[in-house]
Amino acid sequence: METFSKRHFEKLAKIINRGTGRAVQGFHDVIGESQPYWLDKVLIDAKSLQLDAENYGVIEQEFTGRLNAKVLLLFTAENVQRILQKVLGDEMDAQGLNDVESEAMCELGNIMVNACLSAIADDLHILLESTVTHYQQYSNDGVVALIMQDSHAEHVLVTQVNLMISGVSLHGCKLLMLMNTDSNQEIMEKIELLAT
Amino acid sequence: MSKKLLIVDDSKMSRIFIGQHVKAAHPDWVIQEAGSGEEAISLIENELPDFCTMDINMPGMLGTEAAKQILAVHPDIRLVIFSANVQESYQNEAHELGTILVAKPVTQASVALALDYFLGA
Repeated sequence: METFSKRHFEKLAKIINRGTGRAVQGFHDVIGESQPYWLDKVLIDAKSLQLDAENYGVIEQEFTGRLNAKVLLLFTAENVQRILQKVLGDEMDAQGLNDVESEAMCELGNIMVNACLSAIADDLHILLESTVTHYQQYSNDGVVALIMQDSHAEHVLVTQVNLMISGVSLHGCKLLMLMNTDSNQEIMEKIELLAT
Repeated sequence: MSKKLLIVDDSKMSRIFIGQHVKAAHPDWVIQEAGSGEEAISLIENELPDFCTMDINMPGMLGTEAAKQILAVHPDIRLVIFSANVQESYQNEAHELGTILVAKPVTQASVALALDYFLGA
């Protein structure tokens, strides 16, 4: 299994950072406020993935084209509630939030994941087609199983981003890109082309 | 004069938010909704809108394909691609169709861009 060299990884990290910046801009547009954010890590190793919360809201979307990848956007269950409250207003009660949770998180995920992947596609000069987003809550173990059972998951690129809502930090937001070896190779070749 | 807008999006929330922002600016406009490209094409066969917003990623056909089919038969409809999928390739495709791509999320500002395009501002 070929892995990224340090040089490839640094270039990929720059592209991912740009994509994440666009995703965060989408997040700020949705919540209606601009807040500082910072990237903790960009890793390419599923074993390094730390899942500290008990439950996560997970938005899934698949991308096909010159590279095939499944992207997972993870928010802790606690942060899902914070986001819904912010987006939908304080008037909505817990039952109301539960009723629209899936729809609202799918739309937020659609905006953030597509913003990020659009930046990557543009930087690598490729076209990516995508499925509609799917949202579900998983336990900590459920997230791990979701990753391990996925056919794309030979390589897992993990971006950890710390977002804020009204000054409150939302720790634990993660963007995972699951790729097979062919897609991994495709990215390396594209990065090589960009360098020449 | 009252205008008719067709909102095509698989997200009910997006349809509601687009509709709310449009109604706030143009309370007299009539708003129709479709959840897919296929449904939009079927609706337009029976009732022609003046304007249309079209998402890209939906179950069934891509919104860009639906837009292409609609504009081929009804070139007078002012149509905006309204999507989170902002890849340059899709922006170029929108331009080739003679329209624009407005980036989601649905906000007052992004809907205003679509309205400006509809009204030729």
